[in-house]
Amino acid sequence: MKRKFIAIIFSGILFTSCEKEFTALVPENNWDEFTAAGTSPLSDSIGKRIEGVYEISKGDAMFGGSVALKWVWTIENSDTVYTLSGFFEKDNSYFIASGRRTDSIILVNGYYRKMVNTETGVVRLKIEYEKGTLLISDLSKPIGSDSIIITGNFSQIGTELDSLQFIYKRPLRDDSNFLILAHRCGGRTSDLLPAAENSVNMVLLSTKLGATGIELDVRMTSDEVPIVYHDETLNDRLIQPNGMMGNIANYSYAQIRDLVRLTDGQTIPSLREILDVVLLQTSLRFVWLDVKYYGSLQLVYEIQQEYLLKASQMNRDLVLLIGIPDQDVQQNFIALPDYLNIPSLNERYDEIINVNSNAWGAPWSLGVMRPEIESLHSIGKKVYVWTLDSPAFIEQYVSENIYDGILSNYPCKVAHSYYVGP
Amino acid sequence: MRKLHLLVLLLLTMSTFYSHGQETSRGFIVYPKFQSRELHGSYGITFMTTPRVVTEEFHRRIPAGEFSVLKFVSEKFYLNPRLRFQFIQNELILSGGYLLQSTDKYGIAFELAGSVWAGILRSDAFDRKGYGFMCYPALKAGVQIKKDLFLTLKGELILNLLRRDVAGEVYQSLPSPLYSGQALSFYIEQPFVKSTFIVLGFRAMYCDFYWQTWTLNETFEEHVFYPEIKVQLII
Repeated sequence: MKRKFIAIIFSGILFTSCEKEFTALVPENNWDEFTAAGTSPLSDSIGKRIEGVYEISKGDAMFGGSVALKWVWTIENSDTVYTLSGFFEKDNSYFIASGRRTDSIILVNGYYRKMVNTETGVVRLKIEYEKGTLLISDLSKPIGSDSIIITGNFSQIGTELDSLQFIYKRPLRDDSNFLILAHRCGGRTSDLLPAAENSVNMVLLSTKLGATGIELDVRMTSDEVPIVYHDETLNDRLIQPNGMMGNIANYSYAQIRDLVRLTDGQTIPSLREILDVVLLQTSLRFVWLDVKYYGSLQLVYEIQQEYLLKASQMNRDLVLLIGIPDQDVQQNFIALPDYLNIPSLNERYDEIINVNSNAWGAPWSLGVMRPEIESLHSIGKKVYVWTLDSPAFIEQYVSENIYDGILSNYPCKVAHSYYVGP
Repeated sequence: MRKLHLLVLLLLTMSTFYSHGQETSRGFIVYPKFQSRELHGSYGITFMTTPRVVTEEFHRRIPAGEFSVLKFVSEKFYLNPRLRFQFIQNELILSGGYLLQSTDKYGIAFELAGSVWAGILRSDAFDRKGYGFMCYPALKAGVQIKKDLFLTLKGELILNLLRRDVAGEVYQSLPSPLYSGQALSFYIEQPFVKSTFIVLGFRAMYCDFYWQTWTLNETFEEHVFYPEIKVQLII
């Protein structure tokens, strides 16, 4: 009896000592009809007409009662890639799909992901000729409520197909005065996205997740190259194990570039690499440079000015702010010449006027600071709240209708709450 | 590890002082067996290692103090209230148990515990309050290996009855699923110093919410592994 009991206990210890590795791989989705002869990619003008707020009449138990569809572009491998993204009401879920068409039908093929867990699966949608393709194709005709019906199905990996149906209700809410900001270039590695946090591919993914701006973490290498990386140390949370460890500031850029790979195999990018992608390959219009090191900000400032000039030359409306999280970074910031005219975002409310920051990075955990926000708005400052992840709080903060943007690890949820809102 | 050594040293010192004034001590407090109707207790500390999927680079053992009291109201029924405290966040557990089987060699008991946890965090960047109610139905089985060596295995369900978070004036009551996860624990109770007994335990929780990390507002619903080490002295 005793031996059996002890054996059970030690088996239990062995069993419970195993920590589960979570994964949420993007599913393979080979849909013959989508790639059949006679189909062609959806043009930008047609894709844009699919945008809107849709009621979910089938599949609502899975995804909630509404979805916001948004047509976005990125440039990848020198090609323009158009994506139809869907931001669902429920479970921080989204889909990312591409579109093709024949003369009589529009096809949408992609995958969905629920970010509250690891669930992912394929999404295949159609817009029949009389149910919307005819209307969408005629660029002169307005799109009204119930005029587009998208039908199709979804399937979690290894399960039967289930029905989906979206019915067009209204256009997306105008986002020109509101920013959907994605944390760490688009999302965290721990959220099992198909790209590592603070990476080039994550920037490309961010717009597909609903972001119109990003926050990124700036650190400095031992040879003074600003790079984009969150943690103070090299560790297996963010990089593939290779024996390198310790403070990332102790390594040169060449060492980091040649020897270190992020969890998805990408290299740790320099700040310039990321800003090139933002400027040349996406429609992102805001970047928050969250300074994570203590030292001179001269190089970061020079890069900021360089990319603001480039954006201006391209007629791009890009806001690029140096983040000031604390007193020490602020000391380094005010050491810059003419710091009062350098675009910045201050996380400390009391210092915004002193440093002439353009915006306040308001911690969500203080609640909605309406008097402070209104005070800043009255003198032309912006307020962005960070880092808001709880779906219920996201809905509440969006409905307060007072922020200029919300930073989240779940831009898809912010996008849904904002676009579907009044 | 240094902290663990310091802790053991502290417990050793406390138990030495305490044992000077005590002639007897209970041999167990977790092991499911009736000894007497006297009130007995234990004090100690638990260390929960924060899971990376929740706390990312902050991967540390977080200590919490614990007081536990055991009172048999009959030879079968017992009450076992416990307080786990970290000052800014604390959990009070009211637990009752029933001995299903109890012999000289082994014991089996069913336990039902209800708890309330609450936390307040105020600083330059935080104005947070949170509280919630949990329930832990459990079954435990123990075997007496030697005269003074007791081994207990405990399986628990973790049920999340209510959770409420407040940030400033904004609040949310989370409609979390009732079933939050499960835990498996192992306890060894044996003599430590003089007549004082020590409880060494390991609790493996797989759950989607753990009250000690309520401030993070984690939205990931998968069952995450929260390992917990327990060191207690029986008084």
